[in-house]
Amino acid sequence: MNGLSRKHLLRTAEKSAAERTELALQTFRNRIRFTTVVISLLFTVLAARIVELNIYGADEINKSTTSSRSLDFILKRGDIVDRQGVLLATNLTTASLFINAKEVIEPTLSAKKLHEALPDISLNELENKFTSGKSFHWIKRHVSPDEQQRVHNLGLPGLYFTRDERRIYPQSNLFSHTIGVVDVDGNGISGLEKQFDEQLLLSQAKHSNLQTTLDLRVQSIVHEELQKAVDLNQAVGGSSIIMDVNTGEVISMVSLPDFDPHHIQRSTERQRFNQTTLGVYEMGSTMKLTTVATAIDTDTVNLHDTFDVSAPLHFGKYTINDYSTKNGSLTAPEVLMYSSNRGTAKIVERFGKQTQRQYISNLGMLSKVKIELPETSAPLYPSEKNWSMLSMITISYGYGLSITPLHVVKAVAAMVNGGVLYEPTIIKKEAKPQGVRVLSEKTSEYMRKMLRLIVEHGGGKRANIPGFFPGGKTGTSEILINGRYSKRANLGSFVGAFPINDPKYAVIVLIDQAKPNEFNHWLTIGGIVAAPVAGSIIKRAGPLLGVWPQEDQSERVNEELTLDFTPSFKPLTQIKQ
Amino acid sequence: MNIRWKPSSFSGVVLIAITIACLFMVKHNVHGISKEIHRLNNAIMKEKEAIHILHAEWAFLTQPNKLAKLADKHLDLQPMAGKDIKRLSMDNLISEANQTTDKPGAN
Repeated sequence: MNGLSRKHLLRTAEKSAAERTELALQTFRNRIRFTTVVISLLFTVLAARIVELNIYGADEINKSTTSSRSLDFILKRGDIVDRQGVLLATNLTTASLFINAKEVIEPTLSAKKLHEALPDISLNELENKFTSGKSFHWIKRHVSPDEQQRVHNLGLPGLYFTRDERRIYPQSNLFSHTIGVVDVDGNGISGLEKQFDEQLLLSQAKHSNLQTTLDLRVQSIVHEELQKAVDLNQAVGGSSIIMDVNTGEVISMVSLPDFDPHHIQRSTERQRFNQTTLGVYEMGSTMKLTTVATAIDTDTVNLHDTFDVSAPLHFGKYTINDYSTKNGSLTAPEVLMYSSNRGTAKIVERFGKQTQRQYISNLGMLSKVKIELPETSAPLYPSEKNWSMLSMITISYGYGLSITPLHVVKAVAAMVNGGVLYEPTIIKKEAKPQGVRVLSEKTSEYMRKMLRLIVEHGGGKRANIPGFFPGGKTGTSEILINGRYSKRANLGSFVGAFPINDPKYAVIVLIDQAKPNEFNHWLTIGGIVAAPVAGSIIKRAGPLLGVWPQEDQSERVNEELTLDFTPSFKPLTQIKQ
Repeated sequence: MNIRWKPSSFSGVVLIAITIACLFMVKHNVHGISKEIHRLNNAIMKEKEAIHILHAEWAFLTQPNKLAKLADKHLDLQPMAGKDIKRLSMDNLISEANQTTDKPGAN
């Protein structure tokens, strides 16, 4: 029994061990299966994703690649371009050299070697920097590739180059006053560079350039003609503006002398002075246009009224004379044509100082011009209380009110364009600007005809270019030197528009302190020194601006521009051409 | 212990091997393409910078006064005068045609 039961027990034990093994194996297999299924599923998902990426994923990869890595070539400052998109100012990458004096071995010898490579930096300055023991000192900003190579060749320890940017003005002096300049760190310090500093610093990231209304080709012509006139007349300086009379867009703005914007430190204060927007001058006879326009607009004078100009006018201790005395009477058009101070004084008496001040103010001559330049001057004029009868008389022919050339061109544009005043602008805008009506259309028509009369028969003859039909007024004013009007220092000017039958552009030219010489026949008046410059500019720039000469239309246009009046002093046919 | 390879297990292992190989290839390709993109991006940036410099150089070299000097030197051109320009219109053409036909002897 004992033997049997032991065997039974043994079998039972073997059986249960086999069962346990089988059970364990079963569990193991199940786990393996489970793991296989899970891993297979995971890999199936991965495989499916790989297949998907290979077939459809290209776009997705491209998107993630381009968004993480910008393809833009980014510079610190945006470009400034002219109305045609020609580059006027841009940034170029350069290298700047600095020193870590802590890493320098043999400072004196190193300084000497570097001085030989960069002779424009003094040896003393270099030695001070090399021996300073400081970890950073600029040695030179914006080194040229040639200089960079020379410094590389020295192999001196402690000298490093860093990527830098430099403002470049490809047109050199041509736009130095309007575009302005930046400092060594690229911050705008004058002109548009200063006015739009923030926008220019942002614009490169936004891919937008600052587009001006200026035209490089016209600017070049104006610059050349003005420079020629300044040189030939031995003048101290000159300035000129061309403006679109129907939008206020400034096409050209030149002030001479000018400066090289890359080397502003070498320029003088006079060179940096923008006469077109900063210079305030007593304009002389060009102001007579305002007086006559006011008289016609207020209906206080008509074309047939005559004014006796044979005798000088006396106001207290002051005597008002004419440059060339006419023994007789003049009508209003003749007052402009012969540029009579006495006649203008008599015209202004018809409407009085209140009206005069109102019209001058309406024409924008009593406030700063709102052009996009930081360098603008406010006009100088007597307060309402001090605007006396004498002020009224002198202001009527251009003394006692000091304004910038931009004020004049803005007002004359309104006089000829149908009577709407536009604020001058230098930045290209898509929408047409809104003007303010300051004169009636009828007044404007009379003004156009009178301006043509002055160029055909009056002081502006030298601006008369056949086919372009310019109209305009000359001016000559004596300049205040040490509180006294100098007989020797004149400001000769011409302001007008072309073609005056359908005005497109207003032009002003001023020649500052021309010297009497053979070229100007010893006369420095506006009609001699400034009017021919305006003529040359109109002749050369007109076709570029889309104003084609219409010599074949002369008869029709002259008829259109004929002023219906009877000269009081001398018939027009008897005036010498 | 004798483990038998079932067809499903075998196919699983094969699938894993293929997947690993594919994954490696894709990764390798992506790495190569990334390097290429990086190189191309750098090249594009350099080209853009070069174009930018060329724009500035072009603006500098085509300064109107420089062009005028070159034109004076190399071209025999004169500025146009007002009388050199005529308007071409149907009215002009008709009047010129009429003048021609009015001339004696013209057909």
